Amino acid sequence: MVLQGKQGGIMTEPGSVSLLQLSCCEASRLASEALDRELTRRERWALRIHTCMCSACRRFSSQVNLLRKTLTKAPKRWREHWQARSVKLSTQRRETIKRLLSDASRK
Amino acid sequence: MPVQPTPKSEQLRDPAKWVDRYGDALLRYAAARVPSHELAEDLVQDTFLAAFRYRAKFDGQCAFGTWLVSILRNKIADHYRKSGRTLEVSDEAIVDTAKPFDGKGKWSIPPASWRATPDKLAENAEFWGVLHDCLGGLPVHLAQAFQMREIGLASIDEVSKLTGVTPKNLAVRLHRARLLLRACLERKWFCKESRGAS
Repeated sequence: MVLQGKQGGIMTEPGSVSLLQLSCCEASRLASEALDRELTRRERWALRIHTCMCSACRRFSSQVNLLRKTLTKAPKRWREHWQARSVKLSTQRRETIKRLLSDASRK
Repeated sequence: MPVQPTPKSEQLRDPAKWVDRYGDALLRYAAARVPSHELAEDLVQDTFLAAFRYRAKFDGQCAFGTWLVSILRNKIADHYRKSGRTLEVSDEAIVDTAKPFDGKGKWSIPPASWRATPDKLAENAEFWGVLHDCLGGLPVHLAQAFQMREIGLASIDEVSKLTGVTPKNLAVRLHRARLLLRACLERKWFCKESRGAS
């Protein structure tokens, strides 16, 4: 029996992955997690068995791997753009906050 | 008299410096928890203004940055309280209605065959534009996780530390981000391409 976590997660405890009964949702989750951490032996087998039988999940797995490989070749311009956007306060907002703070300190 | 000079007074003297020093970190924290960049910036702004108003209450017990985060956390909680939701369900509350799977966990639309190689794809300037559009179409908290991991090449632990999101929740977000991004690219690029004259 595969346990379905609250967030749609699969494993609530180690060893609870069923080898034969992964749904595509769960299998794709494992394929995704394989890019971020080392899967347990059990998880690897469960994923392998599922993808043997399921061409859709086989494609998903190869596509997310393809995306990762492609992204390592991203042009510098885009890379910088994405990195800047993901973590930074915009210049405009930065100035706004500073102005508001300096207004407040003058009062 | 305390032997060491208190960093407290230094830090508190010039509020404009707070923004440069802590602004990005606070924004990362907020952007991981609310649905839009704009809203995250609003909350960070409110946080700085509140910090200024109550600066006398900062007792130096914790680091100034930690104190700011605690204010921000309250602001985020207030936001969800006002909109009738709790922080715990923020992931579900964030508007994200695409359903890649049906109720039984089967693909709603099974992935198509892409026939692409990283090199060929990377050479194509148009592809990057499409990828950019697709990333822009993701809910912010998903785009953030994906960008930090796949473009910033941060480890799960690093992303977790930077955003305060648990590794388990990050796995959920990355899975979701990859599903949505994959589907978007298929719609806007791979299926179009095979139909077109390439």
